[in-house]
Amino acid sequence: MDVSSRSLQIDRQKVVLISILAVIVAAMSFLSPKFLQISNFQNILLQLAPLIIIASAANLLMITGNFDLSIGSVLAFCAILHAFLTKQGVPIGLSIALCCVMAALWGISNGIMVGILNVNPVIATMGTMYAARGFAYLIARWDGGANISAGLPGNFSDFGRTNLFGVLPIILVFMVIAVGVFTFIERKTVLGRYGFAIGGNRRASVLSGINVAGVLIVLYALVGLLAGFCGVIQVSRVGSGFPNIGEGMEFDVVVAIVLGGTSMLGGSGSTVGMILGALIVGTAANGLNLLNVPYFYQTITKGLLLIVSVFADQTIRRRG
Amino acid sequence: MKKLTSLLLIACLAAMALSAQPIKTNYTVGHVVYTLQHQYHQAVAKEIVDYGKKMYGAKVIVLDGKADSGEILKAVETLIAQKVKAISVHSPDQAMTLAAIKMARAKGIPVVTTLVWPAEKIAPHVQPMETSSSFLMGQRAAQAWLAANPGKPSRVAILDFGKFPPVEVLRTTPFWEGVKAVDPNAVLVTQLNGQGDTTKSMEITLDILQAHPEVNIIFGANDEMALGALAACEQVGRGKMDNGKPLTEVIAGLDGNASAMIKIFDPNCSFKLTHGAVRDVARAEMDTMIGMINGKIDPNKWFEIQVLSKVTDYWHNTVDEAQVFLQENFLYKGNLKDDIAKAKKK
Repeated sequence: MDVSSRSLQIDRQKVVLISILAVIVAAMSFLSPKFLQISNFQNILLQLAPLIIIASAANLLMITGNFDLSIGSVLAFCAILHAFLTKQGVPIGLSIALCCVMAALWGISNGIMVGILNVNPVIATMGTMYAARGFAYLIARWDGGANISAGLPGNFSDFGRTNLFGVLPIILVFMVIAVGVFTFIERKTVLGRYGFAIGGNRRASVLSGINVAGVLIVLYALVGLLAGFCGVIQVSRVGSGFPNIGEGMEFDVVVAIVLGGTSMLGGSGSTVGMILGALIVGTAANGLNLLNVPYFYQTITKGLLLIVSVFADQTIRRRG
Repeated sequence: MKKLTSLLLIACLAAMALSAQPIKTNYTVGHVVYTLQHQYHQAVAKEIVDYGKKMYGAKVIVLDGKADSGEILKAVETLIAQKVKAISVHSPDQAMTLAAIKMARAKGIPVVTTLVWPAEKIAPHVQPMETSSSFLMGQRAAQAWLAANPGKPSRVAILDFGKFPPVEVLRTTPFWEGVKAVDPNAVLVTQLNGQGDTTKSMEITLDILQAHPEVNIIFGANDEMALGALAACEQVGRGKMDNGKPLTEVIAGLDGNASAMIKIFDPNCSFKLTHGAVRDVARAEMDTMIGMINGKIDPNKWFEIQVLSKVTDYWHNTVDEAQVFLQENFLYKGNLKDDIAKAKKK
C-alpha cells in the first residue's frame, strides 16, 4: 500500500470515528441538559487525561505490532511508591522524579525482554503486570496496611490538583503536551517512521539496518514512564495511595487505540485516531452517568461501541 | 423468638470471651477473606489470627478470596483439603456461600458466614448491625445539613456496589431512610456503582456533580468510595466545612478506617461520618468456630450473632474516641491528632 492510499484510508477511519462521536454527542445532548456544557467537556477530558497520556505512547508501540499489558500495574506501583516516599519525608519533586525513573526501568525491562530476548510481548508484559502489582501491594504492606493515606504531607494533593491560570487542571496540560509530542514523533521523526516500518515488516526492518530492539526499548520505556507519571498524578488527585489503582487500565488503553483505528498487527494507526477512540468511550460513559444508567449497562455499551465502531470501519474500508 | 435466640447466643459468646481464661486447643481453622485489598478485611483477618492464637491457641489459615466467587470457593476447597476444624467465610455471593457451606458440611467441617448471609439460612452467621447504624448516619447527615442550610432540602447521591441486595438492605436503603426521617422533602437524585474503588468513585462523582450540582449529601457504601467522592468534590471547589458547619455537602462512608477518620476529624472537610466493626466481628467469628467445634453451637442451624457497628462522626465523637476505635479495630499505630495536623494544608 502506498503512502497516499494509506493516508486516504486513515482519513476515512477518522471520518467514521468523528461520525460516531457526533452521534453520541447529539444523542446525549438531547437526553441530558447537563451534557452540552463546557464544564462537562472539561470533566470528560479530566477523566480521560491519564488514558490519553499513556495511550499516546502505547499507540506508537502498537504501531510496531507490540503492546504493554503492564500499564495499570506500573501506574499502581508508582502511585503507591510516591505515597510511600513522601510519607517518609522525601520532597514531592524528588519523589516524582524517582517514581518516573522506576517506571521507565519497568518499561526498559519490558523492552529488553521483547526486543532483545524475543519473549512474546503478551508473556513479557504480563509478567511485569503481576510483578509490579505485587510490589505495589508489598509497598502498602511495608507501610502497615492496605493503602497509604494516614501521615501523608499536607501538600500531597497539590501537584495533581493544580490549576494552570486558576482554571486549567494540570493533567490536561500534560495531556496536550503528550499528544503534541507523540503526534510529532509519529509524523516527523525517525523513531515514528521506524515504528511504522517495524510494524509493517519487522524482518525487513532488521535487514534494512533499523535497530529494532533499540526502538522497542525506547518505546516501552516511554510507555512505562508515562504510566508511572500518570500514577503519580492520579494518586495526587485522589489524595491517598491505593495499590489497586489502575486495575484494567491496560484494556481501556487497548480499547481506545483499537477503536482509533490502530491495527493490533502493527503498521498503521495514528495518535489523532486514538484520541477519537478515547473520546468515544469517555463521552459515552459520561453521558450514561449523567443519565443515571446503571454500571452493567455501561459495560455492555462499551463492548457494543467497540464492536460497532470496528465493524463500521472495516465495512467502509472493504467498500472503499 | 429470633431476637431472644440471638441475645442468648450473644450472651453465651460474650460469656465465653469474657471468661478471660484462654482455652488452649491445638485446632487449625480457616478464614476466607473477601479481598485482602481492603483495609477492613485485612484488619478482620489479623484480628482473627491474633485472637484465635491468644484465646484458644488456635492456628488460623487465612486465604484471600480476591473479590472473586471462584477464588473464594477454591479457598474453601483448599481449607477442606487441609482438614481444618472449622471455616469462616466472608463472601457477597449468596449462592456460592451456600454451596461452600454444603461442601464443607459434607466433610464434617462447620462454617460460619459474615455480613452477607447465604442463599439459605442454614448455618451460624455473624451480622454487624449495619442497618441501624446506616439509618442513624443518614439522620445525622441530614440534621447537620439542614441545621446549617435551613432553606436547602437534602439532595442525596449514593455510591454503591451495583445495587447488590444485601448492601441495599444493610447500607444504602437505611441511610436514605434516615435522611428522609429527618427531611421529608429530601430527594435521592442518583445512585451509581462506585465499585468500592476510590479512583472510580472520584470519576463517577465528578459526573454526578456535573449532572446534579444541587447534591448536598453523599453516601459512599464503603470508606474507599466516600474518599473518592471527597476527592471529586475538592477538585470542583467543594468538600468544605466551616469548623464542622456544612458549606457544600456532607459525606458519609462506612468501615471507619484511618483514612476516613483523618478526614472526619478535620473540621474543614465535608467527609464527616462513618461506621464499622472489625474487632467484634472477628472475635465473634472465632468464638463461633470454636463453639461449633466444641459442640456448644449447632453448626446446622441459623443463628444470627449480632455485632454493633459503631457510628463515629465529627459532631458526636472526639478524636480520642476515634483513636481508640482505630487501635482496637484497625491495628492503628499512629497518632490520629498528629496525622490530622499533618494532612492539613501547610
